[in-house]
Amino acid sequence: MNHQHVMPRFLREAVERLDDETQRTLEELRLREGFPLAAVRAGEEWTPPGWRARPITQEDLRRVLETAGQGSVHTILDQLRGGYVTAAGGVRIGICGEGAVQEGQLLSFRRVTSLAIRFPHGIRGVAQPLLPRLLEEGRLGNTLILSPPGLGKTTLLRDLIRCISQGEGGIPPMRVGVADERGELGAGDLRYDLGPRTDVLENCPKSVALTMLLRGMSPQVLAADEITAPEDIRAVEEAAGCGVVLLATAHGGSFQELTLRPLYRELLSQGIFRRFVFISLDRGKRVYRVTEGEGRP
Amino acid sequence: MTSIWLGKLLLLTGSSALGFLRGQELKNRAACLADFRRALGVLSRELTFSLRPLPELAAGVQGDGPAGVFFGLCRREFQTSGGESWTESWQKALKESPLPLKEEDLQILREAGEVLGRYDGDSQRKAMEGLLDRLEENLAEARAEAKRMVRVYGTLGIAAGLFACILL
Repeated sequence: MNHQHVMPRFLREAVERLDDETQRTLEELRLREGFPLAAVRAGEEWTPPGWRARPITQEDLRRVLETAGQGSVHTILDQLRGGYVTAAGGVRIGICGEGAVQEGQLLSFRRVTSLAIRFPHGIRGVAQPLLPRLLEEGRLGNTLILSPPGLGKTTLLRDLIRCISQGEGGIPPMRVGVADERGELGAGDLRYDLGPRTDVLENCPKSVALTMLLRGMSPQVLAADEITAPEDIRAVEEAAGCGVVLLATAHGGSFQELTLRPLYRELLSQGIFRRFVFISLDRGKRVYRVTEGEGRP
Repeated sequence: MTSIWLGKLLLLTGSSALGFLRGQELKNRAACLADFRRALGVLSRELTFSLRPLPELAAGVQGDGPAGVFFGLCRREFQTSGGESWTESWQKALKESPLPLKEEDLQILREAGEVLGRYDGDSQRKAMEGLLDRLEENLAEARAEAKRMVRVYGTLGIAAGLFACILL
């Protein structure tokens, strides 16, 4: 576990009580006020016996956020308003609780009741077997990675970026520009796992970052995690017409689910993305399925 | 006879030194308050323009004065505690620092510790402005007291020494 520095002592001690294999493969920690700490591995949530006696308190939740912000709430407040905080090393902390709203805008949280700490995992080589299937007439096609939350879209995208940047899997090495709005793809030392030809624009809105990367870094491939907002989709449409290959991720269990969202329906109707990678769980193992065109296998 | 004169001389010197030391304490308090006002002012301004974490901002206001030493201790406390709470590191550093301040001055610094790092940049800056005003008042009072009393304590020390010498 390399992310101990973003956790307060009580969490570090709890994680250290787990065996090495569990620590290594731990994906998330779930903290809910009044309930014991829970761990998530391979998409399944459970509470190890050693954690059951101690319910999470308000003070515990406050400490997690304070540690994530290096004792400085002002550094994470903007992110708090978005419902999550990205701590050092790309650790993402999702927040739930009682919001303080003014004129329809979430100002902050009066009371935090749940936190979900997600640890980024660099699984080297996870994208390599998929690469040949992402080629279109020998050239990498615009690819959208789809899965329900927490199944490893970001992990796959990170390795895909590395493979392309290094020129693995029959693809010549290419310059990759990464719009990393939440600092999950290439924050801190994670940047070194993205390959030698990768430029990361961190903590900048995706729509702005994609344009800036296009103008300033002349990338051959542009990558962005979780395109959700209308302005992200506009930026993707703009970039698609500039001769670069696009890699992106989106929440969605299937192609049909994706078409239920008007924004994506519009994007898909333009045929910008020609390759789709679906991630699902089968008996605790991740399954990667590549489809092309309108998403039929 | 010589030993009596020597004793009287020592008594006079000791008594005078005590008076001057007491006066120096007043001067040290004023200097310490001025240093903290400078350091907290810098921190407050930085919070307006930069949203960097407090340990980084604190590194920028370090110096040889008491505030600089205090901020250095505060950062070390924060790092050794695993970076959990700036407020707790601040309060601990305040307890461990031998600052030449009165209780009312320390109270302002304790309140600053409760504000820094716990709110958005603007709220912290506003709260710090109020605390800096109070620090300024204490500084003015400390300077006035030092100006008024340094000579008094010095004179009292010499006078007490002379009085003791006469009595012997």
